[in-house]
Amino acid sequence: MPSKDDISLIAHLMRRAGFGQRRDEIERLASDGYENTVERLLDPESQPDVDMYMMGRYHPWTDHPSSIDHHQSRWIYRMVMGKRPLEEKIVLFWHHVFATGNAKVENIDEMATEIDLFRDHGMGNFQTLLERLAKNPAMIRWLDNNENHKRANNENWGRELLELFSLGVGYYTEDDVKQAARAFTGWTYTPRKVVMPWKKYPWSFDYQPYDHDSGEKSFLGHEGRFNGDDVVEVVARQPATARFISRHLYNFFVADEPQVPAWPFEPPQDRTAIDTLSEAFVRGGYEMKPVLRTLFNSDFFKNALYKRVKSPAEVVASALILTGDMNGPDPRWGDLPSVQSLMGQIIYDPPSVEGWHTGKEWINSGAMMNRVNFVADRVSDTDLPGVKAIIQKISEMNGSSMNPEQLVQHCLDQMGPMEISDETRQELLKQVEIDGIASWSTEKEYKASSKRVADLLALIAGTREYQFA
Amino acid sequence: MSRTPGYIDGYFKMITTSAAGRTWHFSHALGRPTGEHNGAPDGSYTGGSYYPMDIAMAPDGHIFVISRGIGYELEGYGGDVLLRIGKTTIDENHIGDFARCGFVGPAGIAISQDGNVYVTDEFENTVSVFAPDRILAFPDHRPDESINRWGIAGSAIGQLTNPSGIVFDADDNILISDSGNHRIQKFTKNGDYISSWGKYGPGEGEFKRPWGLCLDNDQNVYVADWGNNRVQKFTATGDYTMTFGSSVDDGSDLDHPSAVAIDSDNDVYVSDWGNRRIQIYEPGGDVITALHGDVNKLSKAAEYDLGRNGGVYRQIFDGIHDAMSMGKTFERPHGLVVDNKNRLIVADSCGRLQIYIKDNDWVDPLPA
Repeated sequence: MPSKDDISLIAHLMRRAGFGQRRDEIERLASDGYENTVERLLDPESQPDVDMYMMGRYHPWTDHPSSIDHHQSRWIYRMVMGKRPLEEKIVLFWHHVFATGNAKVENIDEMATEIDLFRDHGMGNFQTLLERLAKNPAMIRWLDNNENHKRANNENWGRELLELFSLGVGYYTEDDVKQAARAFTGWTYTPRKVVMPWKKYPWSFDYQPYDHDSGEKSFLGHEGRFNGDDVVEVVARQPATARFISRHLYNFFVADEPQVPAWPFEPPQDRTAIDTLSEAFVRGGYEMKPVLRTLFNSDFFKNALYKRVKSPAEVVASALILTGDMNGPDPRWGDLPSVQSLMGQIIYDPPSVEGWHTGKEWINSGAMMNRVNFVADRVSDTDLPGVKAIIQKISEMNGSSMNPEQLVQHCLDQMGPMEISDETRQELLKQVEIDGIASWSTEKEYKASSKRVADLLALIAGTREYQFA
Repeated sequence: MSRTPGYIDGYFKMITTSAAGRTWHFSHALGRPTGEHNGAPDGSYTGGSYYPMDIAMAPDGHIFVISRGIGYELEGYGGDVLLRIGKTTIDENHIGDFARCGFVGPAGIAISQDGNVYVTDEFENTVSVFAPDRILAFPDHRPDESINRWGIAGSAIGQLTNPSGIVFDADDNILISDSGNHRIQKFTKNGDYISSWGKYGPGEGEFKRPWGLCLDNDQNVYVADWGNNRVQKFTATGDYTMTFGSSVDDGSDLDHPSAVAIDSDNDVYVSDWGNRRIQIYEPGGDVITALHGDVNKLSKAAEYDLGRNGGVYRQIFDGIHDAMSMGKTFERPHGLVVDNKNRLIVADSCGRLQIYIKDNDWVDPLPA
């Protein structure tokens, strides 16, 4: 039997490198060992892919999606049903870093192609990912590179590539932006046609040599007749890029950092951690797996329990996984995009190229209410398999009855294990003490105590502490 | 096999698929994904379907189409009003819709001898019965419109989990693909259990989430065994007879078949859902040919839609030469019907039906 600390650490890993996990699975992984679990997460191909045929059969609107909602449902289904949690989490990471929005792209199928790119290459080589991103039609349209011509440069893509996708502010000049834009002239997509009655036109990358500026360029200290690929190669190998991506990884997987626009002015909260990740990034040849391995096995990660506010995607997926709700065909898959949206995150449509503002900015009164209600509705449903399992587990502790302190502690343990402030604990106890000792001996007692557990889980879902991952 | 579409030397050649002495002419497409239903104010025809799942044809020629809907409540309409049964004809004279929002996950549709429409709901685990002539003006919806509803969720005998395919036998009893329980169950039309067969597995007589099913004139039962990539044939009492298709890529293979139908020659049509085609088999199981979808012009509904707004969309569409070639094929073939004239009607998941006419005496006047 793994120790409580082992279980706590694995639960932490699965919240960060995935979307949480049910307690029985956490205990199984803890028995297998932390490092082994990290390695399994880093090897998604060793696990079966999600059966999207099941999704397509029972939800045909996801098989032939016609709206952003349909694609969002597909992706949420992957987050919840997938056996490759880190692969799906890294897709969300890159969607946040390389934020692209359908509001402008207006071709959700092409947006999905970009998300597929993150799924296929998100844990691979960073330079390769950046090269493919630069040729991704959704990104080209999002940052106007289709309007970047030999005789009329549009610097949007060139600027964001340096400012938000690699180096960060302070590590390039205005002239570098102009030179980068020149290098990407003639990079566009085709065909630029309207939507057909039954299908949208699939876009593909189109290089137009006659519209490309093949002249001499000076970029970040390098001279040459650079094309876009050359610029990506230079950018990917800059030390500043390693630090920038490392800080993004820290913010997404370890602990909340300030929002990206503040990074030039506010140093990382753990500079040593960023240096460690940067070194792993460079030493590993800009491959993502070595840096992720370093991150998950580091002490700074293991000591960062509940240091991040859950994103809405994490709130939704983790509640469904924990409770076993919607564990297969279910008409409510179509409702989840709007649920997530009310919490403040519209996947496939981030608010700007900066991505979402994370941390405490996820929380406002409306979002908080939606977060709490969504989770509370599920953990208080004693018919759901995950809730049944929690109740069963708790009922087997402390013999046939338990006092309010024990009941609170067991519920916190099953929900996380969670650590809460004394103030929160007293509030929970105040509620539980109303009904005194919880007994499990008779069917009637079991039913009554089950209800008390479910109500307590719902209360815990409403705590400040539950909002953290 | 030959397929000869389009114009050659100024002569229009029928879009045909010929093999083994039989020919299937593509006839026309019907419907398009749209929220419009009951005819335009100017009398033109619309008749859309949204993710059509299954179709049934009444003896009077009326076609009933289940639209699965958009998956969420349509803003301003108080429900997913695209979730409905459409009633139309093979000539796209759309009559109207009924049972709008009258179910959650309609999957299969069949018509009883007294003309009522029976629909399985794979999320509610029920069978709902509707009168066939209660047309509703768009966007009215009456969730309690069914005249009868039966079915209990569960795995015990007589209970249902994700019921999908449904068909009436000659005695007016109902066979249902009890998909989530991996079996076929027979009921009276009032829902009284009669018999069942099958269990989960890959063996003969076993199933993995069976979907569509049909009967031939001898009351043999054909089941689209979705998860096992095959169609299984049984006697009327459920004894295994033979298998159509396989998982091996040999031309006769199937990838998650969704529906099956039989014509008057006992040729077997299978919606090869995963491969996006209709596989056609000899009664003995040899594959004859496949249909991939051949839409070559817009349906009345699509023409109507493109013609609005002063024809702006029509002009744009006309400028896209390859539009139809990209849009002609099946997205996912769902339900199938063969009518008494051996016309094959395919529910194409992208929001339309595709119609083929079988011709056993076809001689190509302009061979390729």
